[in-house]
Amino acid sequence: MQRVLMYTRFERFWHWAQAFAIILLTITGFEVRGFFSLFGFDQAVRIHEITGISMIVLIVFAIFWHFTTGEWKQYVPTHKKLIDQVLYYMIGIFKGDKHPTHKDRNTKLNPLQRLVYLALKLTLFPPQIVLGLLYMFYYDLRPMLPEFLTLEVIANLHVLFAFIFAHFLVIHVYMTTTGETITTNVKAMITGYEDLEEHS
Amino acid sequence: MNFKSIKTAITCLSLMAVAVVSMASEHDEHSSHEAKYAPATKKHSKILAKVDHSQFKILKQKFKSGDELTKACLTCHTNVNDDMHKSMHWTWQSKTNPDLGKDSLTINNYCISAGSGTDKACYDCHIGWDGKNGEINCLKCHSQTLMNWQEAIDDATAMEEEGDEESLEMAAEVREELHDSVVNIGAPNIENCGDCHFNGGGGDATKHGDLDTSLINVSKEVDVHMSPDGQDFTCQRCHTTVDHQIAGRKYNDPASLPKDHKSLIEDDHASKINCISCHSERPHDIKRLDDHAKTIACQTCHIPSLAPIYATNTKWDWSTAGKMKDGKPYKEYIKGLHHKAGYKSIKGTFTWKKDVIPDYMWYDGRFSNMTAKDKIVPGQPIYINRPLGTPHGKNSKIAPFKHHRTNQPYDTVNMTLLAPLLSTPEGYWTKFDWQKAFTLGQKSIGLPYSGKFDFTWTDSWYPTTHMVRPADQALSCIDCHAKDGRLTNVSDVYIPGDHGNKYLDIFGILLVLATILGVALHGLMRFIMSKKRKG
Amino acid sequence: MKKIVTILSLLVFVVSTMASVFAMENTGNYRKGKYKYRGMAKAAFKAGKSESKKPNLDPSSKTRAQWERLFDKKDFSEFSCPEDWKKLDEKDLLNIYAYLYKYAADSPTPAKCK
Repeated sequence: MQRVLMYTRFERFWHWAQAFAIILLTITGFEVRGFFSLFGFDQAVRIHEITGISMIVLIVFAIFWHFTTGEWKQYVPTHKKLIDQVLYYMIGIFKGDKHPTHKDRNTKLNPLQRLVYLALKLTLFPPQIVLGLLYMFYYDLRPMLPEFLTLEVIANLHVLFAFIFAHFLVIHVYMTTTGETITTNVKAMITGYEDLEEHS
Repeated sequence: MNFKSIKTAITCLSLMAVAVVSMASEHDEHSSHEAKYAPATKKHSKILAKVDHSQFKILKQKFKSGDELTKACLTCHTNVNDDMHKSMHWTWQSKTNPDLGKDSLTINNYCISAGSGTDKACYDCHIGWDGKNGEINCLKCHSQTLMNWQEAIDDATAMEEEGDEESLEMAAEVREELHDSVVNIGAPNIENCGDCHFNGGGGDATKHGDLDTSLINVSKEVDVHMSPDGQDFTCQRCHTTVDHQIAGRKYNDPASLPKDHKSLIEDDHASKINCISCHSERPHDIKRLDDHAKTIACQTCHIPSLAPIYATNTKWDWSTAGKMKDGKPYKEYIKGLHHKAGYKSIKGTFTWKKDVIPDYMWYDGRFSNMTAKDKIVPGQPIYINRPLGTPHGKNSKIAPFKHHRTNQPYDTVNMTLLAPLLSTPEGYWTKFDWQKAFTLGQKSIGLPYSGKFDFTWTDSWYPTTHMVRPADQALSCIDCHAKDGRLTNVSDVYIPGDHGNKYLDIFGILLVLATILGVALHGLMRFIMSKKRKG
Repeated sequence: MKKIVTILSLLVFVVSTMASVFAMENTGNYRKGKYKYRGMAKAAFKAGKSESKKPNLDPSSKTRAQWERLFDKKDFSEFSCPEDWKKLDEKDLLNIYAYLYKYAADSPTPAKCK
């Protein structure tokens, strides 16, 4: 076994800040939608907007970081062992099989994670951010928007994506328990260090 | 230690803080470079009051009629007659549609029709001494001492004719009182306007819900503009008057046309009838609220309820009129309400309400109006009048209205609403005979009556614009942004918190629940299998 | 025959004249009554005995029968200044009664939109 710094301080900060933001956005967003009352409507709107803008700033920095450090390469998808990874979660995990892919400092993500996170970054975050901005500045942007894009359409799409985020969040939290032990992955994301098996 | 990542994290954090601060400080963005109110101008009435009319000999005559009195006024105020005869206060008729107007075929669901001057009680409010016959009664709007001038002139003249000492003495007293009222004149004050406009529908607070005698010396809590403790406005402060033509809503005409929608900051000669005339289009310190004002009329939030002091009439059932006690008509007053009857033999059954939540509708300043010749369709709702507007249309906003429902008579053969004659010795209020009342009433407006009638429910709406409360009493977010909030029935507008797509919400919640169930099952399976392996 | 007709018509004339004179005496002058009635309220206000310049009761506050009963009994306790009423002479009372009776709640005077 070997102790490796898996996640740099920035990565950990980025991850937890974004996690906090997404959870806060989900809660306040669904309050604005009228599902429940927690902060009160006007406070929920305020928190939602401030958190949303803050998260955009954070994401800009994260993108910058990914490109300057070359970490973006971690997300390049591969079909190698992709099927194996899927089969592992469907069958192997129950039988106590070993993970089909090896994890190290330069391959943090397994093929399935690569695919899911890339999809997340390309098809979920950008439209949700654009929709959020459209919603927020609707009355300033209205003269430029096509007629079908009413506040109602924007709001409903924003909520649709929010449900997909919530769906992802549940799976993501559950998947952290599929490491070596139930808490291995969470601990790694907190301390940054992970014990990896020697590469044979 | 990764020094670079610490630096990056600190930069990132500080930038987030900057974003948060800039969002929070957005709120006082425009107060700095835009005045919130147009500067106040001098009050008009004080300038006019400098002329002492008691010095004029011509006003010291022993007038034998109202017409004589008015002719005395007109010797100095020479061009007023032409202006007045053009004004709606005289014509009682719409300029754009001759069928509309109290002196035309317009009906409402209160006392129904003015019967083209036949219904004398309704014509009490006409500005002429005797309806449209003869001269205008200038005193009605300009005397600052209200009294019954017609009665005073008639009685003084009669007593002078009788000629005995006692009569002459009394006549002299009446003349003195009359003279005081005639010379104490100025620009109309709230009591002049209110004498008719506060009593619409047959009594104080009955018709409008935002216009009643509570506005005289009103507290600032009820009306920031009219209160002596607030802006202490006269009615004309907003109802700009030029040559006796008074700005305001007139049947189907908007109170002002879109071209007039400018603030006094842009044009200090603009009519002041709109809120924006003085407050500008961006009156709030918070951008979000100014954004709301693009869709929602100021009145919607700033007049949270109707009839805050005196109860207004919300429902009226004419079909129960005519009941007698010991062979005589009677009234039943409701305890705790300001002189309001629950039943009157002459009028039927009433429902009165205080602190009424208005109806909200899209409105561009125009109304559709039904007239006495319009056909009604069985089974379809009858809208006596109705605000017009296009959702998100250029001049349309969501505005508050007082809703009034009435069970009123209609002709079951001609299928039109009926205009009964109510006052005068032959009217319903004296004879209690519907057939006679309909025959005479319909005749007065030149429309047929088949002889067969029944009652049917009708709806009407009145715009709400007076009794603007202090800013801290305006509606708050959750009044609308909550399930079944105030605007829940307004079409074609998305209200976050109320108007979510139900199917989408159900789909989404099911998706998340299914996900939770899925991972729970997966976890359970892992747990069971690992137990088996170990066991 | 002619004589009987003459006497009869003379009798009718005398009776009807007498009746009208009698009736006039009973009717009083409602207009004088009105100002006397209002004047009493004003006087009471000036003397600080009441809070309003206007009479506390309108003619339409009571029916004709109720006014009749009130004046028959001379019970003026309902008015704002009953002691002043005792000083009124019969003629003034008759005038005031004529005014109140003319505009009583059940009088044929056209009802107002109120």
